[in-house]
Amino acid sequence: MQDDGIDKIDSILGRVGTGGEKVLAILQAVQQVYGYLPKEALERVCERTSIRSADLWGVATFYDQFRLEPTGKHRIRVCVGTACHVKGSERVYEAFRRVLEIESGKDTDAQRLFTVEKIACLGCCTLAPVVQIDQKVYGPVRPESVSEILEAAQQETQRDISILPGGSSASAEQTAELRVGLGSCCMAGGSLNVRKELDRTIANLGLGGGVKVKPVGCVGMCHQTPLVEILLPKKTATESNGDGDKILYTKVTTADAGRIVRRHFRAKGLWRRIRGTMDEVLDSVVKADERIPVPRAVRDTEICAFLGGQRRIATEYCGGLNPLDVDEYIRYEGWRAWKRAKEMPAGDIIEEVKKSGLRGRGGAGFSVGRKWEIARQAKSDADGIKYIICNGDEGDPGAFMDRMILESYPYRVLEGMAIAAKVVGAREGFLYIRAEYPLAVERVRAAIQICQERKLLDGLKLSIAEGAGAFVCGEETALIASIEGRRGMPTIRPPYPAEEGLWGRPTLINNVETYATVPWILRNGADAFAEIGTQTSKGTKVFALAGKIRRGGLIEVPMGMTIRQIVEDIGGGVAGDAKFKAVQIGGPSGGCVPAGLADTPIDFESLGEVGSMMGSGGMVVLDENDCMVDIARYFLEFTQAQSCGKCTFCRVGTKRMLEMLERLCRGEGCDLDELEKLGRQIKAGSLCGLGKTAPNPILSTLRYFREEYEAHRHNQCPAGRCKELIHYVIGDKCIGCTICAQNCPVAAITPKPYQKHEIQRDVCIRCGTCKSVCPQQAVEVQS
Amino acid sequence: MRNMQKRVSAAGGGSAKLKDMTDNTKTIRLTIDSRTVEVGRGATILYAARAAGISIPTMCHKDGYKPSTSCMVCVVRVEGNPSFVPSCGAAVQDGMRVWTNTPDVLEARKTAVELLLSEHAGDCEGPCRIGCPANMNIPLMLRQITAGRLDLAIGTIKADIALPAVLGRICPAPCEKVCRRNAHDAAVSICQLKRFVADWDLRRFDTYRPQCEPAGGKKVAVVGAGPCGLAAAYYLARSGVRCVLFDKNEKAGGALRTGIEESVLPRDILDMEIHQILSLGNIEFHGGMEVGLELFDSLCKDYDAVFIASGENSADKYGLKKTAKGLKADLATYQTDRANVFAGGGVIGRRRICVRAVADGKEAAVSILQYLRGQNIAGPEKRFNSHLGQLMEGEMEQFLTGAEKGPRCPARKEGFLTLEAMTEAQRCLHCDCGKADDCTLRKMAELNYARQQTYKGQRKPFSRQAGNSGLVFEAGKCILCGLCVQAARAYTESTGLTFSARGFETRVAVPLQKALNEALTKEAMEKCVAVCPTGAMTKI
Repeated sequence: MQDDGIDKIDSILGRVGTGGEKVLAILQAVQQVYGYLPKEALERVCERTSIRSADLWGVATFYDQFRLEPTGKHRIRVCVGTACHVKGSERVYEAFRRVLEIESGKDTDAQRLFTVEKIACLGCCTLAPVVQIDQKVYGPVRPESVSEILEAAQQETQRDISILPGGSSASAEQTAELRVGLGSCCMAGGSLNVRKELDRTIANLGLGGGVKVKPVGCVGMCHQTPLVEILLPKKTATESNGDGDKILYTKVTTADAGRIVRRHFRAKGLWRRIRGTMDEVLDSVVKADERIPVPRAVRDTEICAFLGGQRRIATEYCGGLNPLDVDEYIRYEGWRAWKRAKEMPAGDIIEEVKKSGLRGRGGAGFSVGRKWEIARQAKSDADGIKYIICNGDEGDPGAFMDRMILESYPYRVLEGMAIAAKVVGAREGFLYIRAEYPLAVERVRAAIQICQERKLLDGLKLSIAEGAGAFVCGEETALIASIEGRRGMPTIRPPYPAEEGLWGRPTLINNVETYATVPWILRNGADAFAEIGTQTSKGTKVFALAGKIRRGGLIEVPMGMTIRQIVEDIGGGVAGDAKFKAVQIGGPSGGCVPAGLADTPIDFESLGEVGSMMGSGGMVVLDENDCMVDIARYFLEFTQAQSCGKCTFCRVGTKRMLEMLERLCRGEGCDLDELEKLGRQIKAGSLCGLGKTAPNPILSTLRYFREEYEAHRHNQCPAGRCKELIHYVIGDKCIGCTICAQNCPVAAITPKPYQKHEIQRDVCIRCGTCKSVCPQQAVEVQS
Repeated sequence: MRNMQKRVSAAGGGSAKLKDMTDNTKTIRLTIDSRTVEVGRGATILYAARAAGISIPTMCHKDGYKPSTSCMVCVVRVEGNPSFVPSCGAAVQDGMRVWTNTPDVLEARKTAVELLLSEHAGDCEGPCRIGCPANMNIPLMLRQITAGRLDLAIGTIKADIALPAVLGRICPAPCEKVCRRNAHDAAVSICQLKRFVADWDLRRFDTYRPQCEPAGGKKVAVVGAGPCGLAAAYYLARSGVRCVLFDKNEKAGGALRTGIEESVLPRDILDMEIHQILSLGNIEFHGGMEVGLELFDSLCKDYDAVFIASGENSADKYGLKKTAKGLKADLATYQTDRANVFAGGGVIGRRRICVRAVADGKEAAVSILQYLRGQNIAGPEKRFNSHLGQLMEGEMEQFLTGAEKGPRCPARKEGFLTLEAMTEAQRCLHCDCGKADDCTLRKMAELNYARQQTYKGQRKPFSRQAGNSGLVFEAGKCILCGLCVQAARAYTESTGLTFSARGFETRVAVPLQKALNEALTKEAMEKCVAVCPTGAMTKI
C-alpha cells in the first residue's frame, strides 16, 4: 500500500480509536474511504492496534455491509423486502443484471460502472418495488424501465441528503406553517425537492416572516407521499388536532409546491405579486403539456378512515413534530415523564410499568417491568457498572417502524432510555442502529448531542453503535457481541443479558418502540395505558402496513383490533380487483394468517395461536396472485442467508428446508411430512430466536395452504408465480400493437403488426415484461 | 475479554478445572432421568449427568474449552422448556427436571448428526477400500510404500488379505475401478503395488509373521484349503485358535492350483505364500482327505466349530439347508443352519473371484471367533461411511495438491521396480480420512443410526490445505465447533484461526486468506489436531 494509504488508515485509527470494541467502526471507516476493505488496509490496522487479524477477519467476513472486492462506480441496491418481493423485485433484480450483462457469480459489470446487490429492506415498502442507486431511491421500478433508470442514475450528481432537517418550528402565533414530511419514505418520494420549491416560492413572494416551512417526521401515510400540510395561524402551537385551519395536500410534485403556496398566501408588495402571477403564467405557457392541476386538498373520508382507527402513543403528534427541535418536543410534553421519573423511587417506576402491562415490542413480548426489575436486582462485579441498550437493529424485510420512530421521535426514545437507565442503575448506554438507516443514525446522533449540550440526560452517557448488516444481531446476545466488536453470534441463555450482558455486566436491552412508549405511560399513568388493548396485551402497536393494500403506511393501533379492521378500515382493503388472501405478520419469524382468520385480534397470544407472531410489526397483505409456497420460500431464503452459522439446526437445517422448497417451486416434488418434521425440529433444536422462528412461515403456510403445496408437487402453481411452473400466453385480446415484442428482452415474441402475437416458450425467460406492458391485458399466465 | 472469561466460568464443565468453575458453596439439586443429582452452582447439565453416571454424547464439547453449543448432539429435554437444551452449555438450576434419552431427544440428536453429514465433504474410507471386497486399507499401504516402509506395508496388507502375492497377479482389482484418480488420468496401480510389497516380502529372509494371540484351547476344522479356507485358517490362527485344514487334493491351494495357468500364477509363488500360512503355527493340513457326510458329522462333534470352504458344487455333501446357489448361510455372519457350522466362498454361491473368497474367509473367521467366545455373532463390524460422491468443479485440484502428477506406471511382467513403486504410490490422492478411526462424527453417526442421505442438498466444497510438519486442514470436514480457533488463541498464535463468512458458508479459516503454515506453528498445531473432533485437522 502507498504511504498515503497508510496515512489514511492511521488517521482513521486516530479518529475512531484502536480498542477491540471498535472493530466494526474501524472497518466501516476503512470502507468509507476505499469503497471496500483492501487487505493491505486490514494488515495496517492489525499492525497499529492490538486487534488480532483473526478477530478483524472474522468480523469483516460476517457482516453484509463489508466488501472484500472493489465495487463499480455506482452501487445499485435492489430492495428485496417483502413488499418489494410480492411486487416483483426478483424480476427487477434480474433485469438489472441482464441489461448490464453481468456474468453469473459476479455482481459488477465489465466496465465496472455498476455493482448490483440485493438489500434486505430499504423501508420504502409503499413505493415497492424500489431500487436505491447511490443515494437516490427509485420506485416503483418495473423491469422494462431499468435502462432508463440506469441512464438517469449516471446523470444524477451526488445529492446532499440533508440529514438534518434544520430550521426551527413556528412559534410565533401569527406564523403559518407548511409541514413537509422528511422521513426516509417521503424523501424517497421526492419531498426534499418539494421542500426546496416551497422555500424558493416563499422567498420569491417575500413571505419570509409570515410563512415557515417546517420539516416533520414521518406522517405515516406513506401511500400518499410526499405530503404537505398547511397550518394557518392561531392554531399552530399546541393543538395538534384542531381542524378547519389545517389543509393536507397529498402526492405533491415539485411543480405543485409553488402553486400550493400561491393559493394560500398573497405576495407582499404589488411588484412581487405581479411577478408571482407572471411566473405562474409563464410556467403554464412554457410547460403547457405538463401542466398538472394543483392536487385537491385532502380532508376526505379516505384519510379519515386511515387515521380514524389509529391511536398514537409511540408515534404521538405524528407528522406534527420537527424531529430535532428539542424546544418543540418540550412544548409537546417532552421530558415531563423523565422529570417525574427522577422524583420517583426506582421501585415505584417498575411497579408503574408493570401495572401498565407493557410488553416488549421487539417480538417476544416479555414483561418490560419484570425485565427492568431483573436488571435492577442483578449484581454487577465490584465496579457496579451496568449498561442499557436500545435495540434498533430492525432487520425484518417489510418492517420499518423502528426506523420511523428513530427518525421522527429521537427525543422520545432517549427519554425512555433515560428513565430505564435510572431504574436499573446504568450510567452508560448504546443505541444499536442498522447501518442501512443513515438518516436515523444521524438524527439520533444529533439528538444525543443536543441533549448532552443542554444537560437533559443527567450525565447518562449514550452512544450509537452502528450495525453492519446482519439480521441475527437483533437477537440480544448477538447484538451484545456486535457492540463488543465481534461476530454477531448468539450465545446460550441463561445467562440473560439482564444478569450478564455487555462486557459481562448486567445489561438492559429493550426495543426502540418499547422505549418510545415508556414516556407516555409515565405521563398519562399506567391505568390509561392498561385501558387500551386486551387482557394480556396492553396499549398499542405500531405496524408497517404494506403489500397488496390500497392505503399502506405506518400505523399505530390499539392491541386487540382485528386484522380485518386493519386491512379493510385503515388500509382500505386490497388494491385492485384481486381477492384478499392472507396477511403475513411478523416477517421472517412470523407466519401467514389466512383471510378466513381475519377476525383474529392483534395481540401476542392470539397471533401465536394462529401460528404467527407479533414480531417487530411488519404486516404484508397478500392477494390471490401471491403464491404461498413462494412466500414461504422467500422468507426462508432470507433467514437462511442471515443465519450466523453456529448451530447445526439453523445453519444446515434451514438450508435443507430451503432446498426442499426450491425443489417444490421447480416442480421436482417434496415430501411435505418430512418438510414439516424438519421444521419442527429446527424450531425446537436451534440455539437462538432466529432459528427457533425460521420455520414459522413454512409451518403456517403448510397449515393453512397445504393444497397449494400439494399443487406444486403436481407441477402446478395456482397463483401463477413460480417461474418454472408457469408460462405466458397471448390471448385473443391481442390487437397486434407489437409493444410486447419491442419490450421482450430475449426476443421471444416476433413482432407481427395487427396480428395476434405468440410467445416462443423455449426462448421465454418468464420475466413478465410482456404482461406488464400490454395495453390490452392480453397476456395471461398459465400453470 | 473479561466477558469471555466470565462466560466460561458460568458455563462450567471442564473436569480439570471444575473446582474453579463451579461454586461449591451453593449446591443445586435437580433430577436427571428421575435420578436426583446435587452439584455446585454453575455446573452444566452435562457435568451433572456425568457426575450421576449418565452419559450424554458430545461432539463439539471438550473439557477445558468454552462450550460452543453448536453441534446440538448433546441436547436434552428440560421440563417446561419447549426447546431442546444443549447440555454442554446449559447451567443447572434448582428443581430442574432433565430427560436425556426420551424418543424426541434421540430423534433430535439423529437429525443433528444427519444434517451435519449432509454438508460433510469427505470420505471416511477411500473409495478404493470400500470397493475392495477384502476391505483392505489401501491408502495406508500406499503411504507406507511412499515412506519406504515396506515392512509396515506388508502388515497392512496381511491384516486383510492372506494371499497378496497371489492376488497381486490374478485380482481383477475392483479397487482400481473406483479409484478417484480415474476422473483425472488413471487409477493408481494398486494391485501391482500390493504385488510389489508381497513379492518383496517373500524374497526376504525374515518374512512377515504376524503376532498371534496365545492359543486359547479352541479348535476349528476347515473343510477345503482353497483361498477361502486358507484365509479363514490364517485369521483364526492369528487369534489363537487351532485350525485343521482338510482338502481332497494332496496340496493346498484349491482352484488356485487347478484353475489358473502357471504363466499367470507361478507355482513357486503360490507354494511360498501357502507355506507362509501353514507355517504360522497352530495350523495343520490334511491333504487327500475328502470330507463326506460321515466325516463331517464327526468333525462337528470333535471340533468346537467347522468352516466349510470346499468350493463350488460341493454343497450337497453336508446335509445342511441349501439355496439355489449353494449352502444356506447368513451373508453377514456366514453361519449355516447348524450353529457351529459356518460356510463361505464358492460353496455358498459367491462370485468366482479370489479376493471375494479371501474376504469371506477373513470375515467368517470373525464370526467363528465370536461364536467360540460366546459373543453375539454379528460378523465383522460394519462401520459408517461418509461418501463424498461426485466431485464438484475445482475439487480434483484440491485432491491433486501434493500428489505425484505423472501418469500411471505401466505394469511389467516381473513387477514394479522400487523407484517405480514409490513414484506410483505417490499418485494416491489420499481420499481416506486422517481420523477415520478416531472421528467423533463417525462415532455419532453409528451411535445414532444416522444416514448420510436423509437430507439431500448442497454440501461443503472439499478443500485441502497443507501446513507445517504434515498438518492437513480440510475445511469441508469441519463441524464448526471452533475448538481449534480457541486452541490457536490459547496457545498465543499471532495469526491463528477464525470463523469466516456466515450461515451455510461459515468456515474456519486463516485470517486474511494467509497460508496455513502462518496460522499454526508448534504447540498450537498439535493442540488443534488433538481437539478437532473430525478429520478436518489432521497430521500425516
